[in-house]
Amino acid sequence: MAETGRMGSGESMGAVIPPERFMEKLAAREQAKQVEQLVAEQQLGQEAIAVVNQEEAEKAKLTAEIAKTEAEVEKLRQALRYPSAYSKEYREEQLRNAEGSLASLRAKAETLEASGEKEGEAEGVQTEGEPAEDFEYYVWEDLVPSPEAQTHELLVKASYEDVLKDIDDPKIKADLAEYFAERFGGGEKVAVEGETDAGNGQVAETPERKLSEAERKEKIEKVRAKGWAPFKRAVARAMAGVAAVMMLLGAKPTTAQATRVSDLGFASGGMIGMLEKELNEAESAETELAGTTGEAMGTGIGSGLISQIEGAGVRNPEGEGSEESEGDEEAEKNEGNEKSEENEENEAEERSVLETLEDKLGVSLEDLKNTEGGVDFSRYDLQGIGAAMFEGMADQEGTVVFENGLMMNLANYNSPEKYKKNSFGTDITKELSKENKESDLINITLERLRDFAPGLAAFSAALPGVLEAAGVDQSIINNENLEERGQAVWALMQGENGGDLQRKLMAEVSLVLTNGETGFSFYQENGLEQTFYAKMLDDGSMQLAMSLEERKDEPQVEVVITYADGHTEVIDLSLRCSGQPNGDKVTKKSRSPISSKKVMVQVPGKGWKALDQLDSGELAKIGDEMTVRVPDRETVPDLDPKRPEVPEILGPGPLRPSDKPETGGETSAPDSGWSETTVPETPTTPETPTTPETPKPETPPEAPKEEEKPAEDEKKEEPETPTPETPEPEKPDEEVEKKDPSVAEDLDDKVDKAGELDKTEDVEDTGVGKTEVEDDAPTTGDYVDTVEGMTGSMDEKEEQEEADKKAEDYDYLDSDEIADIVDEILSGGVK
Amino acid sequence: MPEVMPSKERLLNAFVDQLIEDKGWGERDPEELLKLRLKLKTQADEAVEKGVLGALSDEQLDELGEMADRDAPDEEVSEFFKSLKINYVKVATDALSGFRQRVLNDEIEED
Repeated sequence: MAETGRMGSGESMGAVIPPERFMEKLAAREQAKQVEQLVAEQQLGQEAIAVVNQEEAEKAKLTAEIAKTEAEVEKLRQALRYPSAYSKEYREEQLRNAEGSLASLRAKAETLEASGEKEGEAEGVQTEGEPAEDFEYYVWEDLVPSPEAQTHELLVKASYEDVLKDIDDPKIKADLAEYFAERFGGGEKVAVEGETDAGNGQVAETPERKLSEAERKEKIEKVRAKGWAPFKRAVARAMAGVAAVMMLLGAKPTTAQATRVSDLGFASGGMIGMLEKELNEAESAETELAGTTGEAMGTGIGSGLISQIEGAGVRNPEGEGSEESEGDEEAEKNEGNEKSEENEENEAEERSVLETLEDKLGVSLEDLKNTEGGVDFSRYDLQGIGAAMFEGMADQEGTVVFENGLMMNLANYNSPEKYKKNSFGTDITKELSKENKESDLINITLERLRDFAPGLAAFSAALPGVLEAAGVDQSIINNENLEERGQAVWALMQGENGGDLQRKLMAEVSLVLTNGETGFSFYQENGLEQTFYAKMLDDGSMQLAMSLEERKDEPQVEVVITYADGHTEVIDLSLRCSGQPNGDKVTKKSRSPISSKKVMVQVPGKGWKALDQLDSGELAKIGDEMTVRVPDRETVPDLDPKRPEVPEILGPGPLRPSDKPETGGETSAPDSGWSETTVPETPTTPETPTTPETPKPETPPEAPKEEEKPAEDEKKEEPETPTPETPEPEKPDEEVEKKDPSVAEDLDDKVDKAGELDKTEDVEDTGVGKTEVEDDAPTTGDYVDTVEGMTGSMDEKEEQEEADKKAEDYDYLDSDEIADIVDEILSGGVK
Repeated sequence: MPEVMPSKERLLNAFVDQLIEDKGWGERDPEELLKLRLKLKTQADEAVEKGVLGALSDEQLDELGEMADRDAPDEEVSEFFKSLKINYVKVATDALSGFRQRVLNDEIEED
């Protein structure tokens, strides 16, 4: 990058600091380390303070400073190879100054050695004018990459805290504080905030940094682990803001407009402040799509910001004068050459700031403009990427390669560990780490879609942008029936050149999922919902279709994809069904955030088990001989190693000391992370009918094939027992409705549709591939399975109670509608 | 040609692509390149996250920690970050710059 004149302020962008200050920082840091070392060596004794003040200590420190500085100079020499936004003259000046500082340090050490004089006496040594030999300019980031430590103030404080954090003796601590105050002077008062309290001798808390770096780091990680969407949006805003600043600075305003730029005071933060204001304001409406951080950046902020700047007459990429700018030009003529020169200076300064940004990021404005924002398939060799993704798969055990090039590996689909028989594969919630659940999800999803072609067809079908780029016929894309779209894509994949389509779709899906604008929002789904399923037929082929399922706190993820042209598409996936895509939400039962709270029950002889994993016999004993605990904190102890591991996104994990409750309250086990509750006598179990469906790892089903699964598979996996610890905060219905534009508009239609799809016959009649469905075909799902599992063991009263419970889930329906649905389900109209 | 938007994704893509080029990591098959790109983008994103949180005062961090403990609603978290008086743009620039330097200095490995 070309060198340009320096910025108005040498440190306004934090890129380069004057050598004197750099030396100051080095000295401060080195001194702090020295003191720390001395304190440690003297076993934190009072002697350390005395040593620090002795001449020998001064010499040692100076020697260390010089050695350190020489090493840094060598490092800086390497850094000289990097381009800079500063002029050559300026850098030479900086080098001379730095040389003087280093020479001064050396002279000071020599003076001390020779005369034994104190440091203050050595300061008079004149070292200026010595020949410059090995000086570099100082790129601060090379030395202190941490953003937290990029200011002098923070660095000194960090050093100070390093020394003080392990010292318990208040007197020593106070003395060291005084020492630091003396060393760093009044201008660095921040370093001596730990002044003593005359009353008790304790070091007073610093107003800004009472936490140690380790404590801060722990808190930072804790917040990051929360994965808060608003936080991620703020981070996205920050990055979009950087891009916005670069684009603004790269615009070529007229001379008159440059005056406005100057007036906005970018160098002093004025423009940045304005940008932030704009970015903040843009957050609201545009970012309502949960988790779509990038989308928010790509639309609301950009357009709003640029509009504002254009409105202010600052930006005019085409050089066309607006009324305002024309007016300004008139004014400019009147103000003469002086104004023009000022504008040129402003322009130069703006260019300089831009180039500094470019240097710091390694990204030119042109790079930025030519890079994709949202998903843009046109930039990629889709076949090439797809081929690479399938490379080697043919050699893997279990992979089948069809004549048309289509590849599948059904190991996961046929796994006995599969969550449900109509899922696309095994439960992936256990494979998502809390810290990296998004990237874990991406990797796992890509692997599963590569192996399971019907899954890829279903996934792609939910994304018209993907289908279009793959060359799928518009008649398929325009079909509003998701099930039929999926079946059509699957049919294409089984036809001529199906392998090519598979590779292309796989490449596109990988680009979609790995695009940074793609947002992931994890939640628990409730209510009735259409979802894809795949079934292997007798002839070995796979049938792809959709069924209606009842969701009850089902862990899912909504993925919002933003394309380069700004349009977005949404897909939501069932995590316990290997990322199986869902379709229309038929009911308005709301979603809830992923809850980490699980009700745990201590089963005699078996240890702790999650409530939803108890069998009916165990459930019956609740309140009698078993204890129920509700975790009152996010992390739940894994008290029973036999208990199936609950995925991180659902919360539980090993109990850590920091997870202990801070207040005991009424809990009987305050140190366990649990609050023990009085066991509810009534609502629980005899009525709670069945065993959870979730397979227990310790007793995996023997038969790997779907059709051979034992009857337990038919039982419901979620007991109806109320779980007081996880109240479902009702969210506005719009949140559900806007996730998929294809959701049925009318409530009556939804109800009717629910009723229809609850019948096996109707399911068979829907969709393209109207295939005969076997008796155990996965046409209905949990809801139906549950009813089927219950009917044999319940009398009428129990049935009615169960129906009432079901009805509670549909409180937005009127009584007739509820009755219709319940009757439909209980009448045996479904298998 | 869609309008050029100053988005996070655009910046991260350009940033990471240039980093890959500068490090000479571009010579690999497309799938590996995608993975590397994703990894670096994730790490760069994390660097900015840490940068933003690192710019908070102790009190603000405490407040945020307390909000995490009680699962504060999104609205409250959103308000919190809106109310901060930190220069997000500069924090992001510094964080990305620091990350770039660490990669260039081989402090962050390729794989």
